[in-house]
Amino acid sequence: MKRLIVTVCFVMTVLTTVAFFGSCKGENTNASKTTSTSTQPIINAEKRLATSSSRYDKVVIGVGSDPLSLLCWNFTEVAHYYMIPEIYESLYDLQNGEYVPVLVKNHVETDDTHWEVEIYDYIYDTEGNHITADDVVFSYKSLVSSGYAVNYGNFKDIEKIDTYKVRFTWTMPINIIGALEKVLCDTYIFSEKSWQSHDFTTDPIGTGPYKLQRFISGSSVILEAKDNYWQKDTSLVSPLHQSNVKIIEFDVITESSQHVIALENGSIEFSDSVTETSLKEFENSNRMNVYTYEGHDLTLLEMNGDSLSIASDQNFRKAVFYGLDSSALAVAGNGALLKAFGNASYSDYQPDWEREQNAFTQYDVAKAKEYLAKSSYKGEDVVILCSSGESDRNIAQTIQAYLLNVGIKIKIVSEENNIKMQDVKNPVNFDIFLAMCGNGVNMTNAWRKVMDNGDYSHGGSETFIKDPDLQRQISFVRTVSGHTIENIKALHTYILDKAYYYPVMSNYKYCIYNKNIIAELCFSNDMYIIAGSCKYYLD
Amino acid sequence: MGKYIFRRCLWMIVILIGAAVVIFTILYFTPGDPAERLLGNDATEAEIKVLRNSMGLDDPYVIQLGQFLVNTFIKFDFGKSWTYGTPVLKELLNRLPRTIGIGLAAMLIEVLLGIPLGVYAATHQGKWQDSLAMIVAMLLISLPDFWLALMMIVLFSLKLGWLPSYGIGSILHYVMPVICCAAGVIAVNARQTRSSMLEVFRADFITTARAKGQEEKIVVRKHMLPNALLPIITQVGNGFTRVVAGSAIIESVFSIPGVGLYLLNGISSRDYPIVRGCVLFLAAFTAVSMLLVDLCYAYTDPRIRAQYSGGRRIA
Repeated sequence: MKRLIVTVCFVMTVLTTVAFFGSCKGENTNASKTTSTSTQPIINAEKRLATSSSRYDKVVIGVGSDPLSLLCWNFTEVAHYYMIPEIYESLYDLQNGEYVPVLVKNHVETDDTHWEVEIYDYIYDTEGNHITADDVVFSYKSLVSSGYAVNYGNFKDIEKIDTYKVRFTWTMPINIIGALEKVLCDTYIFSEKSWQSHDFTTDPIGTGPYKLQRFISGSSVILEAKDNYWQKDTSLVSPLHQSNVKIIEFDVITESSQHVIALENGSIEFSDSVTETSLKEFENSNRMNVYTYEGHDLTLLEMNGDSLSIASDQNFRKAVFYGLDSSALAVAGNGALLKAFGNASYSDYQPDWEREQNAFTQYDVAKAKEYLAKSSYKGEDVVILCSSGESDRNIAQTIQAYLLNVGIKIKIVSEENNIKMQDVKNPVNFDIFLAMCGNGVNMTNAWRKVMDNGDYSHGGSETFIKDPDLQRQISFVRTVSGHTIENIKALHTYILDKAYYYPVMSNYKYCIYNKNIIAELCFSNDMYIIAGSCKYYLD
Repeated sequence: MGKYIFRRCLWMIVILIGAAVVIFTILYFTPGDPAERLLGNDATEAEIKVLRNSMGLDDPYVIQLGQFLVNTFIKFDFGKSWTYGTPVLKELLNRLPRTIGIGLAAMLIEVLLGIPLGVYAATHQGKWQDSLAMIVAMLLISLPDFWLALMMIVLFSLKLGWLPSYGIGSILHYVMPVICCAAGVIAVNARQTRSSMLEVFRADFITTARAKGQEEKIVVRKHMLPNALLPIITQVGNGFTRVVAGSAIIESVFSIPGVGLYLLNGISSRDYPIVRGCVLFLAAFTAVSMLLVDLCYAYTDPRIRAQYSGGRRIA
């Protein structure tokens, strides 16, 4: 009997092993697979589209993370970005780099450091509270006192000057592009009265086109379109503040494979949490469409500028850059190849960089070895610090393999993201840092985080690069007057010459949605879906 | 018996204080800045410093620990979550019914299926029924619960459309999570029951009962099983505690907002109040479960009851 049991177990083990490897045989390897962006399908002109007066009934969106709370600041999860703009509104929206008024009737720049902003006199929140200048001041001061005001360096004060007018005081003349994005476009206005009587973390009251119907923490958020939305003049309603669907349900689905199943069995109509390997389930689907686009997020290598690190040697850095095949790295990370330190999603990206031949685009082992011979590298381990995510680890392993070819020994230290961000603060912990950056509409603003040494008490950049020329250029190119094509190109050339940073890839984002219901997706400036403003078929 | 329970409760307080100090210390020295995590990559060093200060993270270890212990054990306040913005205790109590519900339902299935399977195997020792029962048990132990969960979702949600694949709402949402939690423990219970039953199978009192002409069914139910119950009770109690404490995986796969997922979110977002609150809760829960298990021993075995009551040890 024991022999029978052992035999059965052995046969089952063999069968499952064969079945597993058998299923792997037909799969493409990552190296041979390429992803590309796609466009949204053309709207079917024969079908009627929903509007704010004739809404589609209900749409269910699958989100990959718990929003945690519905407070209009403290955004730690992506799910927040889908829900908060439906409930709350800020003074302006950021659209294609421009500040588009939402609550603002007009504004006057009285001098370099003062703006007077007048809001509409007919704004009401969900509870019918009239929004006045007092509420605007209260909203700003609440955010600042909470400690969650980020990129508020230019904000000094706000005061009421009239029932519907406030005066902003800036700390200095506004000369930096995007300096007021967070202040004007990401600060949400709410009524002080509502704030006193409701807990906004679970029961938010805003002026947006939707109100909260139900919130089950960790499970779902249901929003309902307001019939009494304060902006009655449809020509003044921002494109991001439509209410084309009556009910929006956000279902929290933490497991990515569950998104695939939920889309297939019709439990949800939209998801952007499906991984690249699962996309083939939706190829040739009659019901679902896959919309792929390049996001703002850029993955890059940052070289350690501290004198203790071998990466502070320019020849070594150039050896690394010429020793890497950028297209292989992009494939390893399942992302889009970068030819420069940005992509076409940024308004100031230079298209001629696509055709440039330089250290970012050339893979030249002979040149790499030449630079390595000139450097002070003596065969020691070079530490690359990355996160423990699959994409980062794949990229690091590919780098390790390529640089071994050149004669550089790489040691990979992959850590959980929070720990990685702690370790990068100590220059002895790494030589090369695999990082991510990317924010806003302008590439030069994305560069700020990694290059600008104004943010760091040690006087260098994020990875301890202390280069006065670099600092001068990055500070200047971010100003209104300095943000020219010539200066951007000059900085790009300087970074190349010095080999401080190496662009690896930008991330693809995949939106899978029911094309029989959703005619066209609508995205915020940060490329998060705004469900209420999407176009829906009524038929 | 009352004195015994009172003494155990006193020890529980000591254990909880010890657990609180340990978890606080571990979190204090864990790398990763909660303020930086909360503000995101765009925040400057100055902004992070301001938030750290307002959260009290720059205070010395002893002051932070003292405040934490006073708030927890005197004010019964686990604090407010930094990410959820709601009191930790309130959120825990909100989520607890789901996790406990899954645990209790799983325990019921484990007992109803596991014990009879073990008894069946023991009473047919050496025969094909015993082998079959143990093969089934081995299979159930071998299957990883997350794999089983995904396979069940594909079959019952996608192919057959019988059950919802994620979330909460109706009782149908809990069917698959409960089965996944119970599967492995059914096998463990079955094996433990079989083993315990075999130990008493050839005991003198069993032979006496048979010699007196008692039916085999009565011998098994009234003589063998009660004497084999003690290790089984331990196993069932451990299984229940494990389901509640280890619910994170099943809750994550099925997107059930329970205590496990709450703790996972707290760990990944460096939300110390959540982690401390959940760990303390789980420590208290485990201590109470063990006390209940010990009380079940007393109910089952009069010798142990006498011991707890302060009587002489009975040989």
